[in-house]
Amino acid sequence: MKARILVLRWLTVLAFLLVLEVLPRAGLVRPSTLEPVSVILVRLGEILFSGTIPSPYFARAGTPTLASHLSATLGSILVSYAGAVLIGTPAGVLLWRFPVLARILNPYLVVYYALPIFALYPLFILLFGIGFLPIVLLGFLFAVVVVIVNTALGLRRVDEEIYPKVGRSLGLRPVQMYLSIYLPGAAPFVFSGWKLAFVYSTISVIASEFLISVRGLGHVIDRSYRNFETANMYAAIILVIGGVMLANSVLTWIERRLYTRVE
Amino acid sequence: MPIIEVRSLSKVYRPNTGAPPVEALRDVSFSVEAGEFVAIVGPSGCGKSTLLEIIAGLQSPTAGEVVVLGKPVQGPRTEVGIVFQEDSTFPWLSTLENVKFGLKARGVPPAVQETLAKEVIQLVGLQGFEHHYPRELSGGMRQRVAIARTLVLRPQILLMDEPFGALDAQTRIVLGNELLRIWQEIQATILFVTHDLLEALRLADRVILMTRRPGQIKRIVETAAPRPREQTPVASAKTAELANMLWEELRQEVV
Amino acid sequence: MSRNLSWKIRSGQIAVVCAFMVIWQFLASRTGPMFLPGPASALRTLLDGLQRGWMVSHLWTTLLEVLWGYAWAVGVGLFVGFSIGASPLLFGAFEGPLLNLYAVPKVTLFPLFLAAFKLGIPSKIAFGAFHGLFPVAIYTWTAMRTMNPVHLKVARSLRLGRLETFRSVVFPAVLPGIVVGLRLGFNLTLLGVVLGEMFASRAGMGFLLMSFGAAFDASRILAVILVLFMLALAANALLLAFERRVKGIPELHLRVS
Ligand SMILES: Nc1ncnc2c1ncn2[C@@H]1O[C@H](COP(=O)(O)OP(=O)(O)OP(=O)(O)O)[C@@H](O)[C@H]1O
Ligand SMILES: [Mg+2]
Repeated sequence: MKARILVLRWLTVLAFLLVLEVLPRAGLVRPSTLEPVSVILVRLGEILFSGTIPSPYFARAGTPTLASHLSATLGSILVSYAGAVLIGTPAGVLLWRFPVLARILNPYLVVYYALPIFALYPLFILLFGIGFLPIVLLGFLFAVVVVIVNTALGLRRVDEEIYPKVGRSLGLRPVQMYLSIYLPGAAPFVFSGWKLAFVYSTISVIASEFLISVRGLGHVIDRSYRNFETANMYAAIILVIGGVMLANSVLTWIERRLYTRVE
Repeated sequence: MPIIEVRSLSKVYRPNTGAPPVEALRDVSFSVEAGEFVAIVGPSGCGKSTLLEIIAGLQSPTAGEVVVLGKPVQGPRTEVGIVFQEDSTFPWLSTLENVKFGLKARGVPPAVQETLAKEVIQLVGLQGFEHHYPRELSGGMRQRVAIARTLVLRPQILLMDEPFGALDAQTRIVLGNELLRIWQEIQATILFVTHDLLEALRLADRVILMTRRPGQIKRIVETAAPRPREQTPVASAKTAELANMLWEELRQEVV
Repeated sequence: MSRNLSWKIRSGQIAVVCAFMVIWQFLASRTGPMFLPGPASALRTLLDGLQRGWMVSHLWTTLLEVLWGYAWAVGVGLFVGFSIGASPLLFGAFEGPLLNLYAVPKVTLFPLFLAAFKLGIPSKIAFGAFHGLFPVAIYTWTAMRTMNPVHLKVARSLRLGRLETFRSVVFPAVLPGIVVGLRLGFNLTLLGVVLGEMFASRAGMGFLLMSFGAAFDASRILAVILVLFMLALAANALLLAFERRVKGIPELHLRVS
């Protein structure tokens, strides 16, 4: 079973790559639409190795280096993510400590992610100008609520278990209750919130850069698309997707380990 | 001819998670006559549920076979009903709908479903709870819903896996009496798993004692008391003697 | 729940809306109507857009794309979800990769959709569907995998056929999970459609946002945002009502993996 699973998974990936390689080579799609995978990977290697994007457009724009874009993207993700975690977690604790507050806000939290929040981006640009601030603000808004909700949910779940009663019956003081009952009990759920916040802030930052910006990996994809620099575009896409998948896999691995401890 | 024949049954679980294989049953053989009430007792994890599920045709043995009503078991059969150890009520159906579930599947006309189901609900003492959902019932009540869902189909052979596990001692005795009455009324054959020695001796004609895992048959004893029996919390002297003897044997398996 | 408490919660909920309005108005008066018009002015612009019609055709385009995209998302999502949920092999092979793909910023793939589909409506429909099918599929297979195995044993012991087992055991068991996926799927479809319109299109609410942005027309941007948000809320009210019918009170379901 294990072997069959792995075979199926990697065969699918391989077949997918093969199709992407053959389609442009056989002339079934134009190279302005899709370059062969091998060409894209070589281009990605060049970009990573030399640190510059081989593009007349970015040379003229004065941002030819990969570092300038990577730092912009990572910086925006980091700031919006840190904001979401640092503000969202205590807010979640508050929500758990004051159930009436939670009940008041519940309907709003339920529909929060229903709103197509990227619609706010043009407005933010009007208010703050093109640049770091609107991107970070949007990333923060997109990521913070999942932290709040998961933190409150995790703590509430501990309350539904027998553990707090055990703690009280053993005469734990409030601080001890927090440290040895609530913290370990809620940790996996809180961590899930943090993980999703990372995913959400990344999605938001890349999407904003993609729409309007002067720097960042999303910007590279957008400009390469509009200037028909197909290989550069796909190289950047692979860089983004690969990076996010790697980070997400690591976070998921940690998350699973945390859950096996409580479930 | 016996109604159930279990022939040199063995079962080894090979988990596909890579964990080592588990030998649950080893060379188990016994037979049950039509109309008999047989109890199975054994330490936790010795393979009692596995045995019942193999007889019900829900699992296949690694070696050996089971013959029910003269035909080898190859899958679930309509003549055999099973009550599971864990809560098996459907949470999205009310008590009445749960009980009607099997009747509906067999295409019984709705009006007949209704009367049969209500009868059995009465029998297990759940009248007044027809329209409650499982989450509104206690664990023991849910188990009674599951029993009713199987009973209503009037199976010739009734396999029961610790059906009273979630009940208090008093209700166990009352329901045990009910079960004996139903058993005689529908003339079923019952194979009944329990971890309660006294319960086994009170209810059954014969008690099968199993060893710890891998489960083998350690001993089979006849409970000679005459029928019909009236159940009381205190066992007769003869039953107590049997219980003590069986307890000695069981103790060797548990420690 | 005591009457007193429920009254407190209701008035608290109203207070939240009022506070939001007051803050909005306050910010608007600080920045000036050129940048951030107040609630009243935004509403006026909205009505103007509907009456004079500069918004109407774009709203129809977006609605059309969202409905088609959602139909595809539900169809494909349910198919993928049930297939993966029913087969340990498919689950083992594709659960991890698909969850990973779900976490990826899907905007980066939009150029691919533009290449594969026509520039107009079809590419937005496909892109919206691509966003929305993930929650539908993930919630479906998760619900199937967390089904109580004893229920399947009951079905087998009663010798139910495949179809009957699905209809009367599997389906009711997984329905509460699926309806959550259906709601989240709608939300993501809407998000995907609007994003697609914002990136490259000549029609739709997303297109309006970008062109009013380029024209520095804050009050029309706000009007479009308001309509989009109200559309999202109305759809969710409907889907939440459906969820409540299926499984009692809906909870916050944000954790996916
Ligand atoms: N599906 C399975 N896969 C692997 N091992 C299993 C499986 N089902 C049961 N086992 C193992 O087989 C052994 C017997 O299990 P079984 O459930 O039949 O015991 P039991 O006698 O009914 O126990 P209890 O009295 O606690 O209900 C146990 O060690 C159990 O771990
Ligand atoms: Mg058992």
